[in-house]
Amino acid sequence: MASIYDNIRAAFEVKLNSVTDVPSIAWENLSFSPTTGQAYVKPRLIPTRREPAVRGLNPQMYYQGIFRIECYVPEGNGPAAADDLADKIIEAFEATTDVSYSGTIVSIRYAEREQGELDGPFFMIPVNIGWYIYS
Amino acid sequence: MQVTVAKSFFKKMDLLKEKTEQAVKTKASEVVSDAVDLSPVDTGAFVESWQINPRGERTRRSRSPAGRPRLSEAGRQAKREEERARLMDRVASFDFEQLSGFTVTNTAPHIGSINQNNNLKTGLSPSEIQAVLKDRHR
Repeated sequence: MASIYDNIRAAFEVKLNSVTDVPSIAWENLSFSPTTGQAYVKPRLIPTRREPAVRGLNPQMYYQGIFRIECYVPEGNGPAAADDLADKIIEAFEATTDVSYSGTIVSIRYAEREQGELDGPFFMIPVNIGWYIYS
Repeated sequence: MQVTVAKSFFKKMDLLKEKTEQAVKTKASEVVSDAVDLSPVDTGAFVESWQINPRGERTRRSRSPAGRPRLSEAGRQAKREEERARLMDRVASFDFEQLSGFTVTNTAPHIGSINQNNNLKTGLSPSEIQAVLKDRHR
């Protein structure tokens, strides 16, 4: 049986893959060599909580975490391309909506971006999608 | 018409104040403890740069790793415990009657290059640590 985290990850990755005009995706723990001058995104699943939702034996569990998507665009061309990419991703994972995979429904708590920063030959804006699920 | 405020009201107010102070202390302790646990430790400079302040206070800590030796595995855990204790002492020193919130900062000078340090077996970059802290305690 797939772990709950497999389904949570799949729910986010499938959704990300379906977002229109998203550039290359550097999937977690897969070999990826960024090409200088070409935008890409780097998603990462970061679980932050796993705890019983109620007291008693065999309780329902509460899971919480972040699906973080770092948006990389070539440096030196201004922030507009990264801003657009971040906006597109936030829109796709808007707060109070759900993503699902194989019967697992993950609720989105918030979708927000941080400030951009230079990272090698790229300018990067992180987008944090906060999620939770009871299972 | 007469309104009498019984002594028990003030006792309850004192109790409420005490419970609120305890709740704030607990939250502050959880935040600093998470910050320390999530921190990569190599020389200890990054974890030493955490600071917790009452809202409005601008004291910052910025410890450089330059010239500092790498810590052993035991030394790293000891460093974490030392910094946790320092931050807990800081929380205990707050004047809770005046407190309108608190901020947790880290202004280590090498914060931008921590991701590039292959000696650090950490799963999270400083920017991700910030995101996790915000997620857990928002």
